[in-house]
Formats: sequence, structure tokens, C-alpha cells
Amino acid sequence: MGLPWYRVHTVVLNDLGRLLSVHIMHTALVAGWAGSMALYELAVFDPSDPVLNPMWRQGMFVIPFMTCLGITNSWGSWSVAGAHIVFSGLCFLAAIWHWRTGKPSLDLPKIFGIHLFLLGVACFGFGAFHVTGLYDMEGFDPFVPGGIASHHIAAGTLGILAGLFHLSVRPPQRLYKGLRMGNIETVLSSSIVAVFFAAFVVAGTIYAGLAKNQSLSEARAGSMDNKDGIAVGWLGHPIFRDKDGRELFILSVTVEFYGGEFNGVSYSDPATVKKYARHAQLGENFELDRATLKSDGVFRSSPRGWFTFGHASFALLFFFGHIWHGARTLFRDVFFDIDPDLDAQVEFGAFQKLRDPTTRRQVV
Amino acid sequence: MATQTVEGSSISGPRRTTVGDFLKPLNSEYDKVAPGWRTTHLMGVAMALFAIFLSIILEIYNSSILLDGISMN
Repeated sequence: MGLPWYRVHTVVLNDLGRLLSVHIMHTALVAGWAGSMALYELAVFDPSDPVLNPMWRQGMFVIPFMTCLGITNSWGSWSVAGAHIVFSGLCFLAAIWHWRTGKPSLDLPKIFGIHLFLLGVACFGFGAFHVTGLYDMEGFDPFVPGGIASHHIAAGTLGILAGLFHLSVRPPQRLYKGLRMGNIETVLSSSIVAVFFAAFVVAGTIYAGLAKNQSLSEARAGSMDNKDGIAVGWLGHPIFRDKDGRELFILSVTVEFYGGEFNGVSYSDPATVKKYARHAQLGENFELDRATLKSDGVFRSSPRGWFTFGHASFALLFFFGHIWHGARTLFRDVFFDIDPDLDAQVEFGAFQKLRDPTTRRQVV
Repeated sequence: MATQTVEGSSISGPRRTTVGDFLKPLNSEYDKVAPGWRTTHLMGVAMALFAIFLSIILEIYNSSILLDGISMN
């Protein structure tokens, strides 16, 4: 007996202390992951060869983000990891403290105004704080358009002004009713929007290499048709022969290396030439150490590839989630069972008398 | 589901604390609205302006808008 498994979280809906508590616990998990991941990566990272063995080939995920924000030595990284773990622990304790029941009526528009104001202050502070020289990067120059610090200063200012506006002006009744501002599920639905929007943006920019000031040459956005053209016919299997009718590579082709470890060396025996031709098709030739990590030679994706795939997938799921909770919010009156105490809900329809607009139901 | 009984709870209402009294005005206007459409048009104008702003900075960054002082290399 009791709730089916897919409805168990509804027990915190009408219980605000517990609703807050579960959100704080989630924050504790997020911060705890960040700190633990940083700790693990620092333990296995090998910084000795940034050219041939960069961090992304070692599967590092959070270290590139920390580097982007200006942490370039290991002491900075250890402090960031530690800070996140400590914060996670404090959030855990706060979540336990808030695990108590409370009366279910929150002034949501007021809460929004307060949070927006505080977020504006924090955002502005982050930008200004990083301009005053704690970290040393061009990205923190407030006059670099699109730069990190300049964005936060501008967005923070907007947040402060908008927060003050929302604190002094109550929402119009039409919007309050239309968006169901008295129901907390509307907050859930709009929060999901923020998540899926951010996920789509971030999947796209990481894919195109625009994030972290990387050049576009490594990964151009756009379809393969924009690269090769549109296929309109198959030309058949090609067989290359020389003038005596023999297949290519038998006698007439050699390979010579320029630069690198094989500089100046050339091969003319067909097996070796073929081998290097096949390898060249997939990119530059490297000498690879397969013994240390017992590499299995199977194609793997980079952290950027996984990031893009994962975030695009979650973005799609969260888009569906927004539609779900938004629909539940807007159509609550027809979605839930009829409460026998609510006599105003017994008759459906906009008019009390069928097709008679003069008997329109008056909104309170 | 375990519901714990809070000792000292009575029919006199929710528990009052110093911090709670200090914060009470912030959670006292539940369901208070401004009549009709009021600031909705202002919101529409602000949304339109923000959308134009975002389009401008996107197209600057994308080099679809070219400005004399800004070069995207």
C-alpha cells in the first residue's frame, strides 16, 4: 500500500522544510562530486608532457575547467577540491537540520525577487573580484567583449536591478493566474527550462570548440554536406594500377617522412608503404606507448565528445520533463481527481450555462 | 512514512522564534497580486529588448555583425 514508486517524491510537495532539505542534500551531492572528482584527477594526472600527453588524452574532466578559471598549479587545485568537499559536508548537515515539517504557504514572487537580488550581488561580486587581480588571465579583463569577468559584472548589475524591481512590484493578477504562481510546480517547471536550455547551449559550444577560447579549426560545426558536398551518385570501387596493369603500391610508390622522429627516412617495400598510408588516413602518425596502461587499441572518445553526448542527451530528457511538469501545472484542475469538498470544481467549462457567455465563471 | 510529533506543539499555531519574527514580513504577502494586466506590457517590452540584445552580442561574436572597434581573430 502507499504511493507507487514513481510518485514517492510528492511527499515533499506540501512540506516546505522537507522540500528545502532535499534540495540542499542534492547540492551537497553535487559539490561533493566536484571535490571528489578533482581529488581523483589530481592523484592520477601526469603533467610531464603537455604536448604529446595532454590532460584530455588522460581523460581529465574537471582539471581543464579549473585551468580555464586560472588555477595552474597543484596547490590551487587541492584547495579547490578541499573547499568543495568541506562545503558538501556543511550542506549535508544543513539538509538534516531542515528535515522538519512546515506550513505550506510561501510567497513565491517575493522569494524570486530576493533570490534574484542576492544572485545579482554574488554575480557582480564574482566579476569584480576576479578583475582586482586574484587570478591573472585575459579572460578576466572586463574590457574583453564576451569575457568571463565582463559578463558577470554586466549580468550581476542586471540581476540587482531586476531583483529590486521584482521586490517592489507584485505580479499582475492575469499573469499570476495564467502561470499558476501560487503553485510550486510552476517553479519546478521553469527551473527545468533553465537546466535544459543550459545543457543545449553548453553541448553545442563544447562541440564547436568555442568554449575556453579554443580555435575553431579542430572541430567545425555543421553537417558533413557542408564539408564534402551532397552525395548524388556512387562511382564504384576504385582499383589503382600502374602502366603495366599492376595494382598501386606494388612497385611504384614510396613513403618518406618529413620532421619528427622518422625525418628523412623512406620506405619502398609495399607492405610498409601501405601500413603508413592507412595510418595517415586517420590523422598524424605517432609513436605510441601501449605497454604502460595496457592500451587495447579500441577507439575511444575524448572528454569533449562524452561531454557533448551526455549533455545533449540530458538536455533532451529535461526538455520532456519541462513539458510534463508545465502541463501538470497548467492543467492541474483537469489532471487531478475531483476533491469532494471542492464544489466549485464539480462543473467543468468556462460558462456555467452551456454556450451562454453571460454566465462566465468569475475568477477570484 | 514516519511522522514525528514535535513536543510542545499545541493548537496555538506554528512555533515562533526571534529569527522567524524578524523574517515574517517577507512571507506575509502570499497570493497578493496587482489587478488586471498592470506591468505585463512593460515585461513584454523588456523581453523584446533583451532578445535583441542577445542577438546583437551573438552576432558580434559570430562575426555576422562587424564593428570597427572589434575584431574576432
